[in-house]
This record gives sequence, structure tokens and C-alpha cells, in this order.
Amino acid sequence: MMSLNEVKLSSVRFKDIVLKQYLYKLKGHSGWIHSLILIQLISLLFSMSPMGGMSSGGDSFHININTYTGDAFLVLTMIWMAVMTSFLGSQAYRSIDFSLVSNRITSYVSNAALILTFAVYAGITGTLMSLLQRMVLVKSLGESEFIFGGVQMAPWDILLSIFVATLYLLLLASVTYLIQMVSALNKAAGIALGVFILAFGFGWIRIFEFKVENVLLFYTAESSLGLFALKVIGSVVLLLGLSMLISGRMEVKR
Amino acid sequence: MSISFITLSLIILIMIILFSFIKRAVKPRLNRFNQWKSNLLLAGGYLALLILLIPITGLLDKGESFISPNPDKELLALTPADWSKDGQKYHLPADGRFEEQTGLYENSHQTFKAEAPQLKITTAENLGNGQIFLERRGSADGIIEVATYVAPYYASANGAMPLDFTKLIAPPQISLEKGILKIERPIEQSWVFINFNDSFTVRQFKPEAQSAGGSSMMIQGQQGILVRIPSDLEIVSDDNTRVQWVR
Repeated sequence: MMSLNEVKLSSVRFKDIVLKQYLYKLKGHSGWIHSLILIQLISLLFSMSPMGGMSSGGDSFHININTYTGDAFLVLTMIWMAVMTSFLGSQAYRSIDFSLVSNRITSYVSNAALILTFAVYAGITGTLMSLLQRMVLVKSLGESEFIFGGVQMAPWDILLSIFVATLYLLLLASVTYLIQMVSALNKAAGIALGVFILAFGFGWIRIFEFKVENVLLFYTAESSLGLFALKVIGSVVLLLGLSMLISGRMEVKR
Repeated sequence: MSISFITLSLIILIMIILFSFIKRAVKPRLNRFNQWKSNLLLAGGYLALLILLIPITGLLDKGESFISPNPDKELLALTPADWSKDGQKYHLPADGRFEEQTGLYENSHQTFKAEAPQLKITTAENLGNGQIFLERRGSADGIIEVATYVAPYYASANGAMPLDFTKLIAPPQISLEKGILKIERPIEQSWVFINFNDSFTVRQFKPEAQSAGGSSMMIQGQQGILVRIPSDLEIVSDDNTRVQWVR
């Protein structure tokens, strides 16, 4: 029979092991910051093109109204996140895991904490890059160019954007991680799942009369922040839970 | 933008090259730390730099509605919301009584000395939509007054507050030579108006700003020229369709 002290001890050990693994992995993967900075600087180039606007003219004048957003930073940061998470779930990285004192669960939880750290950092920097874009545009204004509507981002909008970007990054990372886990079990199943998610997520699938709406809309069309957070957190927990279940069924080392 | 894609590409390329050189130069020092410590410093520095941009962009605003090196920015205004509700709210008065019409902007006013008992008015073929109104004054003082008026021009994109650029519209070029009042096309003008919209992570929760590009519109106002002549001056015009007397 297990005593209370034993349970407490094992729980403390679990936390300690996870924390040690997390810090070890964080140090080990800290080089990823270079690729994040690089990708965000490259996205600064893309963000120099307006996202929309209008062009019109009169008898003797011509006007352009250009609208700029920070979407490019967030989209490229998402791609970075997907690539980084796929590395984390890859066979090579998982093999390195076995050099640590760990079991499936501690390795998995420390990976999840690492993904969360990257998502928060990338969410903050991806959002704040919009300010750099605005500063570059202000400093490079020509004689016939006028900025209207302000340069500043409202503090609430910054916080909202960081929170939502972090949630999107987490969602994307958990989807990528699940695909990697399924791939580790069965490569063909992993590819099929990737194609399935892409098709259902970004496209419209029609099976006879049954039309599957764009799954992505489940998240992107949600205008209530609370419901959106609930949907994303629920999905992340579900996806990471599935990944954990799958990884638990794997052999020790392949 | 005055900064081109190529220029910015070069700047970023130079930054990357510089970064790699600096990294190589300080590498012996960095080796004293572990590699992860330098990465942590880089991550912290990068984040601090971006956070620093929050107050900096606040300072760039300077509380002005428009930012531009162009001194004419003072002539711009944000259009009151009610203007855009019924399209062209302010027209040129059909009877030519400009002073009594609200919302019009007098963008030029010139006076000339009448040189002959007759005044011939010639207009450039590509003058545009400008209508000429003639008004005979009570006195025979030999003064010809020419004023040009503009009804509001405004535009908006992406649901942003409409922009009133009426005062930027250049007046026609008007001169009096040998008894001929020449009304010529205004100088060609071109402007770029820039506004920043929220990222999709914020737009999603703001129903009024759902689209990044969004709908856009431009309301083109009318332009009118009022020529006030002395009571004894005879008028000859080569374009009667464009000239009308103030009733």
C-alpha cells in the first residue's frame, strides 16, 4: 500500500524533474531565438506593402489611401512556430530526450512547457514588431505622404493582440505536435492527418451533399474573447492530450 | 513610400552581416558565458528593444492628427461622421451665391485691374469640372475679383474616419493679360494617405474593423469660379456653356 509521504515525494520529484528538463531544454533550444529574430526582420520587408486601400483621382490630382497592418509578422511567426514545434516532435529530438533521466510524461510535459514559453515570447515579439513597422514608415515619409489616424497602438489592443497571438501560436503548435506524434507512430497516418487538417482547416470539403464548413472559422469567426479563449484552450488540451496518449503507446526507442 | 523594398532589403541584409561580424568579434568574450546565456541576453535585449518602441511610437504622434514632413498637413482634417452618410452633402450653389453656401472652401482670391472696356474669358480645354459664375457689381471701379471655391473632397478606406482633403486642392491658374482672363488647369497633384489598422488578432474582436483592406470611397467635390466685374465691363466668353450669371 502506498503511503501519503510516498505520494507527496513522487509528486515533488515529478515537478522537479519536469522543471529540470524544461530548463535543460530551454537552454538547449535557446538558439531558436536567432531564427525568430531573422524571420521577424524578414517579415518587416513584407509588412512594407500595404494590406489594402484605394486609389482614385480627380481632374488634376491623384490620391492613394494605403492601409498597413501587422499581419505579416504574425503569419510568419506562426510559420516559425509550426517549424520549431515540428522539430521538437521529430524523431531526432525525441532520441536526444532519452539521454535525459525521464519518462514519457515528464518529457511530454516539459515539451509542452517549452512550447508555451516559445508561444508567449513569439506572441509578444510578433505583436510588438508592428510598432517597428510603424516607426520605419513614419521615419521614411515622403513630402506627399501623410499618416492619419495615429501611430500609437492602444495598450489594450497590444495586450489583446499578444494574448490572441499566443493562443493561435499554441493552437498551431499543438496541431503540429499531434501530426508529429502520429507520424512517429505511422508515417502515412501522419501525412494523411496533415492533409486532412489542411483541407478541413483552410478549404471546403464537400462529400456528396454533406458540406464541411471551414473548420478555421470555428476560431477566426469567434468575436467573443472569452469564448475564443475557451475554444482554443479546449482544443489545445484535447490535441496535446491526444499527442500524450499516442506518445504513451510508442516503443521506448525507434 | 520613399523607402523602397530594395533599400529596406539592403538595410536588413547589412544588419544581418553586421550582426554576424559582431558575433564573431565578441565570440571569445561570449565563450566565457555558456552559449545559452548569450542567447538569453539576445532574447531579453530584443524584447526590451521592442517594448521600448511602445513609448517611442507614442512620442511620434505628438498629438497631431496628421504626420508628414509636408507643411500642408495643417490643411487636412478628419471629416465629421455625418458627411459620409448622404454622400455629397455640400454642393456648389446652383445660383452662384457662394458666400451663402456652408461647407465651401475659398481656395484662392485674386483681384485684377480692368485694362479694357471688354473682358474676354478663355478657359483651358482640360479645365475639369469647374463652373464659372459671373456677377456684376454695383460700382464701376475697374476692379475684377476672381475667387475660386471647392465643395468638400473626402475619402476613406477600410472604415477609417473619412479624410477631408478639400483644402489641398489647388485652384485653377488664373491670369489677366491684354483684356483676356485666362483660366487654366490647376497644377497636377498627388498624395498618399497612410493609416494603420489593427492586426487580425485584434480585428477579430472589433466587428467594425473586420477587414484589413476593406471598403473604400472617395467623394469628389465640385469646383467653382466666381468672377465679379465692374458694372460697366462688357463680357465676351469663348465657352458659353461653362459661364453663367449669378441670379
